[in-house]
This record gives sequence, C-alpha cells and structure tokens, in this order.
Amino acid sequence: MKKLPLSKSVCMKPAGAPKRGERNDTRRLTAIAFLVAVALVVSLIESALPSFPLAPGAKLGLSNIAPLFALIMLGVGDAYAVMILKCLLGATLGGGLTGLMYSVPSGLVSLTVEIVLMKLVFDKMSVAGISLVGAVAFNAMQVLMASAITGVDLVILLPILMAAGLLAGAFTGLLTYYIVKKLPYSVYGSAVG
Amino acid sequence: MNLETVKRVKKSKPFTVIDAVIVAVLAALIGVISWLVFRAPSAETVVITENGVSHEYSLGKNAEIKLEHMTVHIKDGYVWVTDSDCRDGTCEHTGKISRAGQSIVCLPNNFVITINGKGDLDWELGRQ
Repeated sequence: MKKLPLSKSVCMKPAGAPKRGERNDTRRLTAIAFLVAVALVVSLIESALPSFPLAPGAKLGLSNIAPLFALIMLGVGDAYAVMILKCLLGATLGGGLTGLMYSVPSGLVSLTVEIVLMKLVFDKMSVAGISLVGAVAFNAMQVLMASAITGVDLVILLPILMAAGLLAGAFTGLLTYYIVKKLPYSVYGSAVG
Repeated sequence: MNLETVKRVKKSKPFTVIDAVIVAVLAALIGVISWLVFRAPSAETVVITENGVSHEYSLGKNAEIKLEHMTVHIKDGYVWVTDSDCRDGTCEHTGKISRAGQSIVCLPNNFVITINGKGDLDWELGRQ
C-alpha cells in the first residue's frame, strides 16, 4: 500500500467515507503519537533521576528507543517526525527551550546516521550496533553544538560523552531489538494497516 | 520498510561481528580523542615578552602580574589582560586564551603573551 505524506492526508482529504489509505494514515498517526507520548514520559522520569557524576548531562536516553522503533516499524519520514516531536515537546514540558538548540541538531544527525546504516548495512550490523553509532554521533554533535553556542571550549567532554553514548546506545538498541522481536505481528499489523 | 523491516529485525541477531569491529573502531577513536584532549594541559607555560625581554610563568599557577602598561591575569588555565593603557585595546579585546599556540599581542607597547606547550592540540584539531 502506497503511503501518502502525513500533511497531505491530514489537511487536504475531504471529509466523508474513510478510504483505505486514510485509515492507514490514521493508524500511522496514532502510532507516531503513541511513540512520542511514551518517549516523553520516559524522558521526564529519566530527567528526574540523578545524573552520572563523571559525565555531566549523560543519560541512558531510553526515550531514543521511540525514533528507532518508528524507523523500524513505520519508516524514514515517520522516524523524523517522532524525533522532532520528541525534541519539541520534551523542551516545552521539561523546561528550557535552549535545550532545543542542542537536541534538535543532535537528534537529526544521529537519526540520519541510523537511517543510512539501516539502509546500507542492516543484517550485517545489528539494531544495537546501529543504535550505538547513532548515540555516539548524538553525543558528539551535542558537545560540538554546546561549544559553538556557549563559546566555551568543551572538547574535554567529548571522549567521556562519546564513551557514555557507546554504552547507552548499545543498551537502548538491544532493548529496541528485543521489543521488536517479542511483540507479535498483530501489533504491527494494526499499526501499519 | 514497514512489515518487511520488522520481519528482518525479528530474524536478525542481537549482535554481529561487524558490531564488534565498529565498537573497536569507536573505542580507538575515543581513545585518540581523549589522549589529545587530556595530555594538552601538561607543562604549559605563559611567556610574556615585553620589548624583547621574556618572562615565563606556569599556566597552572594563578597569578596577577602588574606591568607598566597593563595587568596580566593567569587563573584556572586562562590568561587575559586588563587595565591596558593603550587606546586601541586590542589586547583586552582578545579575551581569554587557554590553549597552546594562542597569543595576546599589543603592538603599541611591543608586548606579546603566548602559551607554549608540548601538546599542540589546536593544530591537531585544525584551529588556531
């Protein structure tokens, strides 16, 4: 079934009897909304926990499961949608819109890296492997953005946060893999129509 | 994508050989970066040259050096100039320097501050 871009189907379809494509899009929308909601709750809980003493700002990043899951279950565009919504709403709810300047570029870079790897080398590389490369890219980008925006040289954080990203990315990737593996096909069927 | 990808993920292994290779490469990269970052501060000195006469100070030791035309501050690995009496004030506008190879220059007073160090981190990262 051919997928329509979200915006078109949401804004331009006339009201009336639902067609097959429309129902599909409603399900995709619901799946996206669900994933974003879960990501937000997880990241809110996570931000309440104390951070690691060695690496300031380092988190497990459990909410990054959502975009990766969307990439596997739905597709490239929807994964970007989940990532951007997660960043925007996360900043709005969690306070600190300045965080957007770090999280949006980092999120986009890491998701793009993951998409390229998924398209090119998946099967040879596992979901966990792809996730950890994405997480390292995320953290590296975040340090560079922070250095660029604050004007303070933060390269000293680069190796620590890259190592933290490696571990956290492997963990969240493995978690995503097992979630995808254990969920029955009926779940995906109901989400993708 | 969609169900095909889900199928492929379900069939895939949790970890692969390529993963191990990638992890090794990333670990090596992190090692190289941390080596570059952490070795830099060792034995760095601040050299103040006024009219061709040089004095050396340790970057690691906080100091406030009052000179004829200005005051040089060394604090927590940063060096900067205040109270310059020259009117273009370039030395003050240079701001704080902290890395090997950086310098503060005042031409009217024939005055140069440079940070010397073994680790030329700035060169390696493509900055000056």
